[in-house]
Amino acid sequence: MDDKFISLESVSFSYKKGKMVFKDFSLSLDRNSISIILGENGSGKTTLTKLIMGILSPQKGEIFIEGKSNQGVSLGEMGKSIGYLFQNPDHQIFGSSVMEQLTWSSSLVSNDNENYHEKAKYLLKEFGIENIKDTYPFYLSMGEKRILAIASVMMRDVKYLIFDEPTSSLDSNREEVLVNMLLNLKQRGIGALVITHDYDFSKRIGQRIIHLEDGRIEDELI
Amino acid sequence: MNLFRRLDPRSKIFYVGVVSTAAVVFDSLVYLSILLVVSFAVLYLCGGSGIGTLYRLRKILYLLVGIAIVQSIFTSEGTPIITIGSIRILTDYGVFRGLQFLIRLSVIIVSSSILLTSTNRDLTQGLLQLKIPYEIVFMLLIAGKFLPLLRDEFNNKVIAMELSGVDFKKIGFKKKLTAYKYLLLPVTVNSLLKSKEMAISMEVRGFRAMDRRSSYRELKFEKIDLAFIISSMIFITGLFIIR
Ligand SMILES: Nc1ncnc2c1ncn2[C@@H]1O[C@H](COP(=O)(O)OP(=O)(O)O)[C@@H](O)[C@H]1O
Ligand SMILES: [Mg+2]
Repeated sequence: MDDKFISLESVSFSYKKGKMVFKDFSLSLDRNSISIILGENGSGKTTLTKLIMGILSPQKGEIFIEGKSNQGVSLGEMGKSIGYLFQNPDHQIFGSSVMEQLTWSSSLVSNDNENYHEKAKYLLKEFGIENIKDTYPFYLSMGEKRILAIASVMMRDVKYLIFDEPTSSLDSNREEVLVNMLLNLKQRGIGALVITHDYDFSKRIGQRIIHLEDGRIEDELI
Repeated sequence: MNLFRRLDPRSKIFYVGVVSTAAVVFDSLVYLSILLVVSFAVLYLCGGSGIGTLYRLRKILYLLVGIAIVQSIFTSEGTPIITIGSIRILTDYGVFRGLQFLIRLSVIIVSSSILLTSTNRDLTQGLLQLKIPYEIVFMLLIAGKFLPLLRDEFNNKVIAMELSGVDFKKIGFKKKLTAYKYLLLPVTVNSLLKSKEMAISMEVRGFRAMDRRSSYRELKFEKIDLAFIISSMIFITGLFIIR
């Protein structure tokens, strides 16, 4: 059981004003593979990722990251091991320019100036957003915002990635870059949990496809 | 027990106006307490929850209690209760002033939260029928819709910030200020830009194309409104007279 990176054990969760989203829900995710979650709108995909990250706490059950319960782990510590992409890119865009967005948090926490600027430049080039590096993020299109948020998650070195709908409103070139990047990271032992509605994309990168429906899961054989 | 649930929002506005005025005018702790108890009762009868209101306001309540304590300590008139040497720490008049401040503001807060038991739509219509210009009412309406969104956006941003390793407790003062800048600037600028976009979309839909807006929904005063307004008038006038 050593290669389980994340496991949820009989988790129940409901929002304060709302129906039960998960009841007695269990799931394990491997460290070195890319798992995909497919499911209708409102089936609880985002809620699941927030539970794993410790942004929400389950009413019952426990969630383990690398065998350790995620209760009491600070968000800061969680962010060190898992990179999280919000479904709404606006939530994680802070800078007043695309370039600043990639470097602001490093400039606050690290002193290694050279290094993170190099990395930011590399990501700008890789994702094809060099030409907009001075633009104010509000004016970006939805797809550009998404790519920018993905790039800022990639700025940090983490052990695992959780991406909530990274492919929504991406063009095919950007999607291609994302596929390559995720497969590359997987080669280096960094797995991911990716939520998407794009079945072809899932087939290309996923080792496991999970269908989520009414708080229950069904694995699809690949 | 929701006797006043169908109360016209205009009656509630009237009540809030009268009671808040009385709360400012009255000095006696007894009368202020009576106003507070009655306001709680009215809130309850309108379908609101007194305890829920207190719970939501708990942070402000701490602040109010803090201010009341400071005010008690810094008032030096009156008979001393606690003294250290020749310094008067607490006097009876200071305690009186502190309590007065606390109850007075509670009356205003509790009575205003009676307004929140009406839906936004009803409140808007009420203000319109009170001949408040539509532009102003519309502004209030938008603010009411935007604030929860803004709060949600802000909460999510704080979470995202913590996830990206910026811990407010661990960084120094100068960096903390920078972190606040990153938190507040995008939320502020985005809402300014959003309102600009909204102004354009309102223009496109012909906002204010006609001089007067008509409405399918009209509020009517019922018997219960009349009874409510008259009894609150009698109540307040009574308090004024026996004061
Ligand atoms: N903050 C919230 N408060 C109450 N209900 C919520 C909240 N967020 C999501 N929900 C509800 O929980 C369910 C699952 O939502 P979500 O996890 O966002 O679904 P998905 O990401 O699969 O579209 C939905 O029915 C949604 O309406
Ligand atoms: Mg979602």
